[in-house]
This record gives sequence, C-alpha cells and structure tokens, in this order.
Amino acid sequence: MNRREFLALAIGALGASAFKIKGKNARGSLIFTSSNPAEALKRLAHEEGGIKYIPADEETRRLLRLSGPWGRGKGALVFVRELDAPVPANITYTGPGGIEDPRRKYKKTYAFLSREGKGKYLVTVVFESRSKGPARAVVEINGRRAKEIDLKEDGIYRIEGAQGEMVLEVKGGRIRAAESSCEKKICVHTGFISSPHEKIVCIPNRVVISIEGSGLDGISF
Amino acid sequence: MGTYFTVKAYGASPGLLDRVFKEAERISEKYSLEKEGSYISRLNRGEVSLDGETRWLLDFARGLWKASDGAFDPTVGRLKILWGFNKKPHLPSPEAIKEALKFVGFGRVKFVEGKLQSPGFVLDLSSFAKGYGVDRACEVLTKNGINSALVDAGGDIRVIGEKPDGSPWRIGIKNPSGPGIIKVLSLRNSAVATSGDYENFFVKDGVKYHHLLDPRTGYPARWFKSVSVVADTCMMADALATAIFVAGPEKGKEMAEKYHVMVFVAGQKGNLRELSGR
Repeated sequence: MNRREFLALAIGALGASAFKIKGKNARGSLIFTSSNPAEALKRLAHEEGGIKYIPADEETRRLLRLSGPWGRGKGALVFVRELDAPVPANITYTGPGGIEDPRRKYKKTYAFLSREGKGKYLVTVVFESRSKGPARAVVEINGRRAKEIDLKEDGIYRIEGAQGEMVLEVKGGRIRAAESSCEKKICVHTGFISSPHEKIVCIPNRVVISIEGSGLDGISF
Repeated sequence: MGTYFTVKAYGASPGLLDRVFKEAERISEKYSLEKEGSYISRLNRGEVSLDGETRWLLDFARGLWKASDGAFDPTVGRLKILWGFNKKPHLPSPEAIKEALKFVGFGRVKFVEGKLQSPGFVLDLSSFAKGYGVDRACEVLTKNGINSALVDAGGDIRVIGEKPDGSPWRIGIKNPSGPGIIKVLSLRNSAVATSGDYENFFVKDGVKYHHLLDPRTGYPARWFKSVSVVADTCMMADALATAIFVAGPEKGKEMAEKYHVMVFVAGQKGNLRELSGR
C-alpha cells in the first residue's frame, strides 16, 4: 500500500469511527477517488439498488451540488474531500471482515469505480448497519399468502404470477423483483426493499411482496 | 392513500371475506368520479337522485364543512378535475382557478326532488368514501361474529377488538419526509387515517403541488406535511385528516376537540406533534 492509499484509508477510517448513524455504529465504509463524485455516487446508488445519502456538511454538499436524497434502501453517509492533486483511482472497502478489495468480491458493483483513471475527490461512503435484519419476505399472489422467503441467504426465486413469471432476487438481506412478465415493470423499478413498511407490487401479476418482522400490523399513510 | 385492500380477520370463512371485499368494492365503484357510469358521476350530471346512503354521507360532510369553515368541502371536485390529479397533473393558470372557484362552495349546491340542480358543481366524496368503505367492511365482519380483525384500505385502517393473543393492533404512521415510521399506535376498536402531501403530487419550478386543495383558494394547503387522525370510525378519521390538513392547526385543534379524536400532525420540518388529547 503506497502512501496515498494509506492516507485515503486513514481518512476513511477516521470518518467511519467519528460517526454514528442514529445511534448505531456504521457497518462498513467504501473509500474511492473520483473526478466526478456526484456521478459516481449516482451510479453506485443504481448498482447497489439504492443508497439514500445524507451529506455530512456544507462543504460536501457544495462539492456534490446535489439537492436531496436519491435512491432508497441502505442508508449511507457520504464525505467528500477535494484533494490537492488528482490521485490514481483506488477503492477500498472496510467491513466487519477487515479491509477488502471490493472489485474481487463485488465485481459488478464497484468495478466501474476503478475505471476512472485519476480522481481529484476522495469519497467515503459509510454504510448504515443492519442491526436486526428482517427475517423474511412474504409473497402474496391473488391476495393469498403464497411463499415465505428467508432474507438471510442470498438467492434467486421464480414465482408464477397471475399473468406470467417473476424472478425475485434476495441479496444482502433485501429483496427485489429482478424480472417480471408485466409490461411497465413498475415492480422491477421499485428496486430492493428491506423495511417492513415497503412493498413491491405488480398489479398485472397480482403479486405483493412485503417484509415481515417489524411487529407492526399496518402502516397509515 | 394507496391502491391495495387488506383484511385480516380471525375466524372468518373465505365466503365471508368475499362479502367483505364485495362491499368495499361496491362503495369504491359507486363513488368513483373517474368512472363516467358511476353513481356519483350520474348524480353530478343530474341523471339520478340522491339515495339514502349518499344523503347520509352528505349530511356528515355538511357538518364538517361548517365546523371547518369551508376547509372541507365536497364540491372541491371541480378543482380536482381542473388540476388533473387523477389523470394529467399540471399547474392551472390563476384565471382557470378563479373560474373553477365559481363552482366550488357546498352552501350553493341545490337539490330539487333529490336531483342535483347546480350545473358545473362536482360533488366529490373521495376524501372520505374510502374510510366509509372500511367501516362498512368492518360492519360485515362484526355482524357475522368476528371480533378480531383489521381492515386496511391503502393506509386507511380500522381494527375490530384486539389480536387473538390479547395485545392491541400496532399501526405505524409513515414518516412524511423519508423512509421509516414516525410513530407507532396501539389500537383496539378504533380507526386511523392519514392525509399527506407525498401521496399524489408534482413538482414545477421547484415548488411541490399536491392533491389536498383548499376549496377556498384553489391551491394546495401548506400547513402540514401530514395529518393522522385516530377516531372511532374510519370515515371520521379519513374526513378529519383531510379537513384538518386544509384547515390548519388552530381550527384543527378545535375540530379535534369537537369530534373527540386524536390528531397527529407533521410540520414542514417533518417533526410530529399531537394536536389534541382524547
């Protein structure tokens, strides 16, 4: 690890330990350099199935020039620092297992970050921890409870809706409709859900996917 | 407000549940302004006369119209159509709003031999028809001996009794500013409904325009981000959530006391507070 990499890591680690999201300790942090952090974060949000970010401070907001949360799903805090000079693109992931190269483990998700070349901004994304992960998702077809899916294990599930087939994907404690026979694909565009109040609905297939385990019987909205 | 309808009823047969869904559907179809052939559309065109059910609903609406100083008004339908919230939402010109306002005002609606004789006025009961539907659904259940149930029509919820293990039903109020729940209610034999600016809206030139219009100005009310009402019936909860959202905190507190309901409001900063005790 050269000096720059170490510096990036040190700043990132400092960011992670100096920060708590709603009283819970953050689970992991992703540090990378980028020439266009706003675009990189947007792409990351898309690949990750939605990250809601909260800019840490005025300076970060200024650098990012974004005016609101984008995406849903995992909570994340973002720190952005302008460096004195562009630094070769680099990515480091610090999780419960230690320091990893995310390109090896999460090829699709993070590989695009290393293709940038040099980056003038150091971006640290600190992920919210999932302390009590939701136990399972419930799939209702035609108003009847058809299937229960354990969210603790990643996997692919195929279900037969009223109109055709849907493919569900479980990844990292969340679930989404990866594919659907319907035309508008609103269900697919919903992306990953992980909180008990969220639902994925496919009207043509008459499918509703929701998360169990909050202890709530209903949500008024 | 949403598009699903869920019933959890302990001890109910599939046949009974079918009747529950049928009753909710009947009310939804009857008062749907979007359907040209619905009862409410035909009533508005002066083709049919007021029936007992609708007369009762309008009497209820009249009481709220008076108590809210016109913030709650069933003739808001004309404005809703102008803004196009159910089809193509857009910002109408001030002239168009002024013109539409000529046909808004419950006090000016006339019925002759039960038929609507105020051309141009549009009666819209959608602000509480859903809650009414939930009540009727619950009635079907209780009349058939069910004493533990929950009916949820897209966020308008009423519970019968408590859960089989003796614990109350736990209902969350959605955070109007982001994901998650802002409050959890423990309910027995009561109903809750929420009106929020996040359900149906569009943004133009950085300004958010939502579907909860003030019938007096023609524009969306700006007091709150959401209003949740806990009442004995879902119709009351639904109607009051809309009424108080438009009427504001002062009038809202008055109405909460008058109707003996619990009201939670989320201000523009998203913070929740209780407007009145029960």
